[in-house]
Amino acid sequence: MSWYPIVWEELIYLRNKFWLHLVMYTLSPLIFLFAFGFGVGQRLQLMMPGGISYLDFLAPGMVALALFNNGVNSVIIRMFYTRLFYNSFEAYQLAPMNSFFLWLGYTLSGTLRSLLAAAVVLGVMFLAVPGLVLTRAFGLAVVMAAFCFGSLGVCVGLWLRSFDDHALANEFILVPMTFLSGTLIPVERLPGFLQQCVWLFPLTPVTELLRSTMTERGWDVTLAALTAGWFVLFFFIGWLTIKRLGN
Amino acid sequence: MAVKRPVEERTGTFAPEYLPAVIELRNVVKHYGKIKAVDGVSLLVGQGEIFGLLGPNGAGKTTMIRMLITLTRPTAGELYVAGYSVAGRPVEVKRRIGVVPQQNNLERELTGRQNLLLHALLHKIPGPERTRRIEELLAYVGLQARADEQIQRYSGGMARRLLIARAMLHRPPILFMDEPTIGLDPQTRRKIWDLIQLMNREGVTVLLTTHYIEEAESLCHRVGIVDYGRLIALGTPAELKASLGEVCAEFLGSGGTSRRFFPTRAGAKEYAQNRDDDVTVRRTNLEDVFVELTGREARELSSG
Repeated sequence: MSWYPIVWEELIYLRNKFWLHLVMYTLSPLIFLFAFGFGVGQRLQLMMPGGISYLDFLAPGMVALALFNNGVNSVIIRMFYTRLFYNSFEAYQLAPMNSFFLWLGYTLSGTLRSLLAAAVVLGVMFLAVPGLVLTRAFGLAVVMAAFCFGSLGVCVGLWLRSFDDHALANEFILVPMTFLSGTLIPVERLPGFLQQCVWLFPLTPVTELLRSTMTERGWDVTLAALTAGWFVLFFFIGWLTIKRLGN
Repeated sequence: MAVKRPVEERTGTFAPEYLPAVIELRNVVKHYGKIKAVDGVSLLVGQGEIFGLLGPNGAGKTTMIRMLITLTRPTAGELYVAGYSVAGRPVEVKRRIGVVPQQNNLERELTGRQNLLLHALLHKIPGPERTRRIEELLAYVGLQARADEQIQRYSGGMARRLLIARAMLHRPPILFMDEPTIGLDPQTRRKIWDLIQLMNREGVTVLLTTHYIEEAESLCHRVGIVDYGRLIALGTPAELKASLGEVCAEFLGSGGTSRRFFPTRAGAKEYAQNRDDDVTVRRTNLEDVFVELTGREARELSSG
């Protein structure tokens, strides 16, 4: 339980600004719903693979986006400021705990934010797309994704050294993944060369896994393995980076 | 290993004796690229001492502390704290040390009490004991009335007192303080000094860095003067001053302020009478020791 104080601190922040977070988590899916779902979505209907409605396509994409943006960003921001500006990250480094638990604590903080945001988005999506069916497989996929993105947040958060790095992470990692990972537009409808490239993004298998678990396709082992693979990679990078801090 | 315990200068309550070393540096070197921040330092600090590392900004004091508290790895050499190798048993070291950093590293959006609670959780202090110790320490540092305010509303002095409370919460036998009174007003500085002396009387070994001469002189049993990453002098303030001469004759010469040192006031006065210009005769202080040893004026201590 050495990781618990890090999550406890995150819970205090969430409690202190509960309503702000709730509005924040609700606003983003609403904007996407109005802009894409009810806006250009009607015209995108023709592009949908398998002839499903755009809203049905969008729902898992929105959940994936919520998991990704909140999981990764919350950890990046917390690590960025506590490491480089407030130095409070040192208080954790000075605690008598193994570096693995330090990694785990931050990853779980991101996971927590990720899951909360996903829950809010699902609530909104249920109102907009009443026919949505949730399965256990979907729940498992959500948890896997949240953990994966929490650990990605730790990797990026440890890598940042300046505001420029933060901007670079946004421009080169977060924004391309947001729009190109099959969340808003089907991967099959991207330009040819991009269709292969986007599989290098961890968000792509997550989005597709969520989508498959929301339909009769169910649990896709390959997509789940890809998601787990990304998580293992992020774990090793994050953990080794924490271990090497101070060199 | 043991360290010769200095005579307690302020109270004269005990004579020199040998105490076990609780902090040890053996030929420690730290490079940052081509810069040598610490250059072959060896040092022993005895149990129950208040030991001060005195030197200008950039001398390597903070790097030494960061290596001892496990946050920075040395390029070469060995460090031991409470008998444990810093490189080999960092978790054991962390259990036995408290750290007051130079910069306020409290969580700004948490209250004072929540910051202490977070630290207690990190050190796995059990529930009822946790609450008791937090209240005790809040009273100790005089922050009970402001304990439920967020840190961003604290003054510099309040934050520093809370940092001390946090460092003491898990009852470490060794306390590292990096510039504990930097940027504080004289009143708050005195309060912090009182706290440090109080903790030391309760058996805590304190290693602090400072660039305030007065702080080193009035607070520390022994002082190590650090310059360009090297430990250039080591001893009690009295020993260091005596190495120059107890009395200083200071005058403004053609090349700026000059100083001559004498073992007695009579010798200094005789020297002053034989000079045409104004000569001030006073007791030698650590500032004189620093200037003589480094060839740098003491103002560089604070300007870096």
